[in-house]
Amino acid sequence: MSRQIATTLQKHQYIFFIAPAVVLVLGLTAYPALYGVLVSFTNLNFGYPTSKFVWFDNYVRLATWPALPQVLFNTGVFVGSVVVLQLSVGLLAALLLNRAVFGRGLVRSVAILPWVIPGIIIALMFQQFFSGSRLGIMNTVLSVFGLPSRSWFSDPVESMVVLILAVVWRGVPLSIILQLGGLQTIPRDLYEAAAIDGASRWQMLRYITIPSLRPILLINVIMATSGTLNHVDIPLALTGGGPGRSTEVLALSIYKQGFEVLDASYASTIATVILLLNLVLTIVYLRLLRARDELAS
Amino acid sequence: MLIKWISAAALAGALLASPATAVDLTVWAQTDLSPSASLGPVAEAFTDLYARFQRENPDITLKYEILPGGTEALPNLLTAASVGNLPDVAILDSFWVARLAETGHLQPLNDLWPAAERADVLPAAIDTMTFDGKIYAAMFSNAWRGVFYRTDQAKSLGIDAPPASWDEFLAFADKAKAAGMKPIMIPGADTEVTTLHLISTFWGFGGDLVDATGKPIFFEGANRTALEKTYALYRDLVQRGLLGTEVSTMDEKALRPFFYTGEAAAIANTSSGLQQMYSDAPTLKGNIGVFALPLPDGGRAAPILGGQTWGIFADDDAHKQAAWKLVSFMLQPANLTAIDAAKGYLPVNQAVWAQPFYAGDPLMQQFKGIFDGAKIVKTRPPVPIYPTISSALSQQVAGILNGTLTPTVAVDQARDIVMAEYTRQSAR
Repeated sequence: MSRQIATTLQKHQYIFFIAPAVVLVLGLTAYPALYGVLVSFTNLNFGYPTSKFVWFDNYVRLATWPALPQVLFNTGVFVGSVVVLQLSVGLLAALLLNRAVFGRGLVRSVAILPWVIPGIIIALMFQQFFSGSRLGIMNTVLSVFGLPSRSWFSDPVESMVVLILAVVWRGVPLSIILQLGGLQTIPRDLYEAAAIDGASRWQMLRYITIPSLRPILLINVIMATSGTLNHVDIPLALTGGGPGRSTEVLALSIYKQGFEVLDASYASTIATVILLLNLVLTIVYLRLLRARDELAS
Repeated sequence: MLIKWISAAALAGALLASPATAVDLTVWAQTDLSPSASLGPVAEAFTDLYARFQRENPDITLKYEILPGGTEALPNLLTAASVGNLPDVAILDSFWVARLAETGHLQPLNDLWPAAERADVLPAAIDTMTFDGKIYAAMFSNAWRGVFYRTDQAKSLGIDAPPASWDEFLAFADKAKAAGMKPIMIPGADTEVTTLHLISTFWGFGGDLVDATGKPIFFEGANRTALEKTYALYRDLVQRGLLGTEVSTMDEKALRPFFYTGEAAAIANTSSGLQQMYSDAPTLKGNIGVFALPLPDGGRAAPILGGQTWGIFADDDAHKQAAWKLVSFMLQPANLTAIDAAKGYLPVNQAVWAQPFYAGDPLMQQFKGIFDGAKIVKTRPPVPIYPTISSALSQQVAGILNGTLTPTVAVDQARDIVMAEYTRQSAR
């Protein structure tokens, strides 16, 4: 009996090695997420000393929130634009950096810089860049051409464009790194064979590069989508959701409810919805990839 | 030689050993009110004062820790309260004190704070920190929110004194507009700062946010009229071309660059930002004038009382006494002046107003005159529904500025948001 236990333990000894890491990771991710879901079923508000279970009340509140259609629309535009731009600009830059061009090493190092700058600093940089006063860098540029100063953040569309630009600027380096890594794993022979067959550059990109990069692109799409969906620092510091609610995205609503109105349960409800959105989008992406792979094979 | 070694070891031991009655005192404060403050003079003031306190009290070891900035610190403190991890003493926003007192962890200061010292403090600053006869925090600073203008610019417009009436204000603004400046900029972003400027005007019109029981009443009777007048004032300024819609995404900090460049003739801002303004644009020193916004009905925007306080959480006698020693040290007029002056805060103690920094500065005396001469000085109501009220009021400003909301609809919308939440919370 004891030998049996010893054999089983020996067979599964890896559990003892990975358990601490698993417990740590779950403790820092799964526990807070599940606790957040639990809080969403209560009426916990930091302004009040007590709380109790109210079950789905907060979800009903969210579903009937008058601003929800606008915030969802903003979130869709924001996430969609950022993901498309981040991936396409990242792919373009990766394709350029994958070629043997002069200074490639230096450019690769410099390209990573926006990724290591904290989001709040990026927001302040863009705020300075697009400040409505004459001290704003863009307004200084306009004045050089004799054009009047603009108040960039007072227009809802311009505010959203600047916000998207700031987040894309930060996210592009990640796309470059991921896609450059993927490009370097594509065998040269494929391109050589295609060249012999008379394929154009566009055909090589369309039929060799992008299909080979698909797993990397998928990872990139998932990371960019969930990252953008959860982005709060840049929208908060750059536009604060304004003017009005024209740049308020779901993640910013969490901040406002949780830290300005102190309504922790409602903030957790919005966070739970974002968590579900993330899960659904990830499953959809994975299904799409699998379906296309099966079709290809 | 051996004796030398033994003596050296004994001396080192004596120096390293903590006194028998040593107390480790944990202090929590937001970065801007700590030795890690980004504003150099504030960091120096706290570093110097903590070091001096440490030298004068070798039996107390100070350990300061940083709280997040803004309202985010309150959930941190409440979480700490729920798990028994509160500091011994902390710098608290006056607005949090009522909620923290409710936790039962904030210690009353009545027995620690001598009545003679309390007598030097602005009575309202004590009253607002008192619940059920117990004083829960010692307010040490105040801030004023109102209109700032550059005196040299005003002189160039032919204006020598701040506007004393609505008509004079309009004349000032029209002259600024004619000179190609933005006449006035008031924060309009959906934040608490926007609400503070808004309620200052609302109180000036005689409105009240809540009744004695904490029930929101800003949408009823005379209060509704006052709030509609407040929103209408913003709308009218836009319609006259005196206030631009671009302020709808701006807080106080975002307005300052327009002030530095002279693009704006006047900005609504806070006295707490004064040192930052001097740091950003040193030429402003001695060149700033302030006034409370005159209102069309003859009144003025009311000053809001509110600032930073010291609160004690330690409940065992040794730590509580040590905490009070620190608070008492920090409240000494000269020490308080060092902090308040470095930060640009206004004092709540007469003894600090009498210090050369305040007594000798015309601008500071102007602030004092505004508080001394105000008919109404109020604090934000320390009720749980206030954050919802604040958010609901500031949310309407963008719509008022761009003309998509009338004052009546804005008040109705704010009422609907607040009362839905009030009804929900009343059922808890």
